[in-house]
Amino acid sequence: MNLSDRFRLNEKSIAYEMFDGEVLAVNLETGTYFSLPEVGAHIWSCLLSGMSIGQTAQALTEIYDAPLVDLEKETSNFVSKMRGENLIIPADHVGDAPPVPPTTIGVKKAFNPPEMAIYNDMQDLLLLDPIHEVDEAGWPVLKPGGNQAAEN
Amino acid sequence: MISIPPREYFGKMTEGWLRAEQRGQSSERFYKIANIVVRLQFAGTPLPDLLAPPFAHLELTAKPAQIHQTIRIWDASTTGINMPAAPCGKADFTARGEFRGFHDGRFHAAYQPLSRTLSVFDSERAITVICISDVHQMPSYERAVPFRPVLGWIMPRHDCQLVHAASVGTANGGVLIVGHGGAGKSNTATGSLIDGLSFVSDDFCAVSKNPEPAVHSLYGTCRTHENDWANLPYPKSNPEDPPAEKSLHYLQSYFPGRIVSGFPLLAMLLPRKTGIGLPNLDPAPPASAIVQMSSQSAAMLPDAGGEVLTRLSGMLRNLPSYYLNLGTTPQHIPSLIRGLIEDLTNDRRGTSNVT
Repeated sequence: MNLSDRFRLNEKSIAYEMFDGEVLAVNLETGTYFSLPEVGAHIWSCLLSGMSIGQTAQALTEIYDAPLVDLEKETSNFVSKMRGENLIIPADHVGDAPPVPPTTIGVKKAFNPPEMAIYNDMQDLLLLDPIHEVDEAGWPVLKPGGNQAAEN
Repeated sequence: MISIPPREYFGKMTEGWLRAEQRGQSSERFYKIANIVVRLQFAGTPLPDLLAPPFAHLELTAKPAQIHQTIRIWDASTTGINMPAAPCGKADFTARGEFRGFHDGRFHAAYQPLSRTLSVFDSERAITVICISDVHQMPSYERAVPFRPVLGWIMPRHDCQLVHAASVGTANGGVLIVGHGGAGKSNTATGSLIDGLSFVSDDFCAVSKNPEPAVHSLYGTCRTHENDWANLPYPKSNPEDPPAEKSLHYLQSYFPGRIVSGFPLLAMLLPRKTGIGLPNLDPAPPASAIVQMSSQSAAMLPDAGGEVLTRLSGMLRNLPSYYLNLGTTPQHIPSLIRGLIEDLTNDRRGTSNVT
């Protein structure tokens, strides 16, 4: 992963909202949801505003008391994690709008590495038996004892 | 790939319903569900007895002047009118029941394979047509929440959102109890009902904001394990339910007046199994409950997408939220909820007095 790499939201699968400085994202295909508090939320905002990894790390130096080289490494690692969870995809085209950096604050905060909590509560609901058979009218026939969605 | 245009497919369903209506005994009933006036039209003798009881607490006694939504249901086994052939190949059925490529902004369709139920909704005309292969074969967990995919489509058109949550309260307002299956929603809701609180839902309900958040009842049912119900003085609604499965109960007949249509929403609770001490509450971020409900909608409701998260966030993000630590004495949970509702009601009154 390079510092010049840019990404955008994987809009096909991911919905998100910002709550009091925390990003909450839902993968609509798997039901998995994600919480990205504080530093992770800043990284999310920077990337989705069009900044590269390097620009994001630079923007974080305005907020956090940490060397740029450390922020570049942590940002890069976190972006890899976001990419691994299919939250973001590479941006082929960079828009004309200037990147929006986080608001600069007077006293810089201590830096803690970004975190991402992953919740898989819904996996059981979605791990249904695939449709193997259909009846003569084309409707799915479930095998006895197969998974049953939403029984609870 | 869809083999027939959605409009044409809806036409086939309407034709099937009209033929079934001629053959079977037909009837209609009216309900106010989340302030939406819904007409249920049944074709097939057994349908009202088996599918109307969950809505008994919402039934209107006279034909209303305005009807917002019409749902037409026929039973193939008793009318002899089969459902049309599938509009797609087997690769196009999704886990949530949709047919890939069918939803065109106006028409929705879903198939529930366990009950072999097909629902097709024309959002422009506000009419849904449903065909059930054999209502007697419908599992009790689907009979507890009839037409769930359809209500999921209808609600957003009336500024509501169907959610997977329980809800109980008092005349002042209530709480939404959010969690995945097995988290303790049903037991908390039924325990609270038995203790004297009003009941809106043990599994699925609707929420809205106009201008304050509110919760609306969809189904006056609960499903419990036999052991949980055995010590209570109420008969099972469906004695034929196998002992190993949860039993379905129609609550309106046991608790008249306490199964309510809804109330203002004061807080959200996230049950947590702690296995120690008395039940108690800890503050929780509202976002946790909102994102859980959005995730569940994405998993369960046909055609649900990212708009659910946006909608719920707009409705509920300022609502107080708490972890409900279940402890080891469930009998104390209803008084804990009652106390919370009282405190939050007093807080609101204090705030409104100040302003």
